[in-house]
Amino acid sequence: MSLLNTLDIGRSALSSAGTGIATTAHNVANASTEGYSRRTMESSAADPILQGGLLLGAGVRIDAIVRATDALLGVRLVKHTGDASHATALFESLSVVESYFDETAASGFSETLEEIFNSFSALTTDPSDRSLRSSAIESARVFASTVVNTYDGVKAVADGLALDVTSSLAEINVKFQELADLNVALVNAGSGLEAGDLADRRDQILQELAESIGVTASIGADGQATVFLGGHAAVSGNQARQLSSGVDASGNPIVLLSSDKGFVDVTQESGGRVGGLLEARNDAMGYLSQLDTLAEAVAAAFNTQHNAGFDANGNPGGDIFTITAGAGSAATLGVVQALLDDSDLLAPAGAAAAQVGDGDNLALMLDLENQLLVGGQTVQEFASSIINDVGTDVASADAMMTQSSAVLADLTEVREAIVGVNLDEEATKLIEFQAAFEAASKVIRAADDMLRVVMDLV
Amino acid sequence: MAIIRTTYSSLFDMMTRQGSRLKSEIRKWEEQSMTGLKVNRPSDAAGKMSQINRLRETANDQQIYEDNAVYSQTWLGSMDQVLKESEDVMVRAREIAIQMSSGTYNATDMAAAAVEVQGLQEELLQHANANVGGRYLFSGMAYDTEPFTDILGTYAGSVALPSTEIGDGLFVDTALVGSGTFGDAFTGLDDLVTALTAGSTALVQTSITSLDVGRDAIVRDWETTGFSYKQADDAITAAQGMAGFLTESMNGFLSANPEEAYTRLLETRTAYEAALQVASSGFDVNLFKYI
Repeated sequence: MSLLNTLDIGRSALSSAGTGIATTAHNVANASTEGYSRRTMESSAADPILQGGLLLGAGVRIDAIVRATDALLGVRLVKHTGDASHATALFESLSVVESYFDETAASGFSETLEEIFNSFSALTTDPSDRSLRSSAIESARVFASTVVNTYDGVKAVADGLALDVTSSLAEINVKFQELADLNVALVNAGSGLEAGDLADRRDQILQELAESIGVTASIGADGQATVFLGGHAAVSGNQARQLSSGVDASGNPIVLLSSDKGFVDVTQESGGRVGGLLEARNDAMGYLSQLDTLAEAVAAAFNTQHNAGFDANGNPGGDIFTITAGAGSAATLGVVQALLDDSDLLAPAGAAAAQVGDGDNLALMLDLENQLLVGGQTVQEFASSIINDVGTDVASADAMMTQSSAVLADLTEVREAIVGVNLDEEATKLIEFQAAFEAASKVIRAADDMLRVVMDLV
Repeated sequence: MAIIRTTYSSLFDMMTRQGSRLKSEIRKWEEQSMTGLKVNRPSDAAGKMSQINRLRETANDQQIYEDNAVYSQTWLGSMDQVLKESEDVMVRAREIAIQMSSGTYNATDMAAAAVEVQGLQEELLQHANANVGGRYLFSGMAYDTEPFTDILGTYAGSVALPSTEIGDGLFVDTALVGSGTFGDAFTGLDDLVTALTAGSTALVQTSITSLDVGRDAIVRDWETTGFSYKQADDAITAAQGMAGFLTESMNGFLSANPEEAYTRLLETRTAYEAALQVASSGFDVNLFKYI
């Protein structure tokens, strides 16, 4: 074996130690980088050299920079990221909606509806009392105003959620394209630090997509990711489909995925944040529909009964409430302006003679409180059931968020245990590679000294 | 779950998660301590909001029923007093009639008695037209109209009755139809005056029956008024009792236990501080510090 071979062995050792230090440095630098998977340098003894019938060692060979990974865990993480994100978006959105149904402050529509009956009941003490009549009319106005405010507030949230869905789709399309580009880059990258970084980025995008819209994914042997939304491939190889938003026949937002044959409706398959937003919006629209039903039932019942009574002038009662029937009717609920201007138009009397103490029609209006006017319920019960539904939906979303977040946290912790950077480990490796580097340097110096001695002989 | 490798990121995640959970707990206990309520939004009492609302509505109803019943008693109490005084008028008229029907009094005595009975007529008219707070007690629904225009009992009020709600579907009449209450009394007094003026002992005797019919009508309505007053009284008692019970039930649903809320708040704060310390010490210790 020649001294030059020894120099080569030292050089390979230096190179190996240097690469090891670089890998460790890369790990340390990315210890807190989201989605980063630690790298390890894999090396083996270089092929021996046959010399004089002997197999002599030829130093070290760097085989690969390996990226720690667990494919099965990655798939589960993608799924549970979508679930947790769905539940979080649903809970957060419904919590905002819930704030418009604050019945605890005694100012919600259920409470103000009760106040109508209370003020009408107080009016029975003296139907001619102008202050009591005004108070009864005012209670109707406050109820109408509370319903309108609740409706407008919830509607604004629902509209905001629809806009959120649309703007999310634009970001998702960018990620689809980025993933398709990464697929190409991954095929071209081979192995090494750069390929690992590309794979990290791929996995990170998959996580982000799962978070955004609840995709599922499979990773091919060449590292390319195929992304599915429901049963439809959204990214395959270098091809990325595009998502767009639209509205269905009822005006509800839908999510469309481009395909060779046009667009496919993937609204039902959408999970993650978009799915949570869509579900929250559907819930909010359901509450609005219930508010419409309540407003129309209250207006119809009071108007009909009021029409049967007589006002202070002996004329038949007009309407108390104004409302435009149909979707969004709750937003149009109001009190007849003439009634607000003149409390004499309130019709508590049961007869045209309109005697001051005639509250016969009032008694019939008070009886509305006990009549099953909406879906087998009284208007009060129906109002309470809306609030009950909101509370139950929010609590259910909260429980779902807590549960899915806990599962995700556990999986993330397992993932970290497998692929995360442990600084103590990296410090140990650093010491190891540093020592190896120093040793390799000394081998080279020894070989160099020996060569110098030989050269001096010449 | 046993975690073999603990990394910088997992420590950070754990701290964030625990911190967030504890912060959320702290917020919950702070809110309960400050508001005194454990239900601050519908989701705090998921599935129970219908019950809570029903309790609250019923409690609110009780307040209105109580107010209405107290208000009704203003009129009913006044009516009770007036009817008692009206009966006294009729008793006095009957005494005069019995005295004058004994046959021992001459025409001059009877004329003098007629003057006294005419005074009683005026007094009864005054009672029948009693007005409390601008409201006639015996005009029926037309309590803005003076019910009687003369001592003969010509009635100008309403024959229908005003009623006030003092319970769920329970109404109490807060006035009387004066013609029914005082009509016969006015007739009886008029008969007596006519008999005395005519100086007829026989007619005076006949008028006693007429006076009794009038007195009976007053007593009958006096009893009805007393019954209504009692109904209002019962309604007040029931409303107060029910309100107390409902408030207690609602408190069971809504009110936070201040001791528990404050103790839990302190506990959670301590846990939060401990979590921060543990996490930060975890970040402090790594091998890089020693090489």
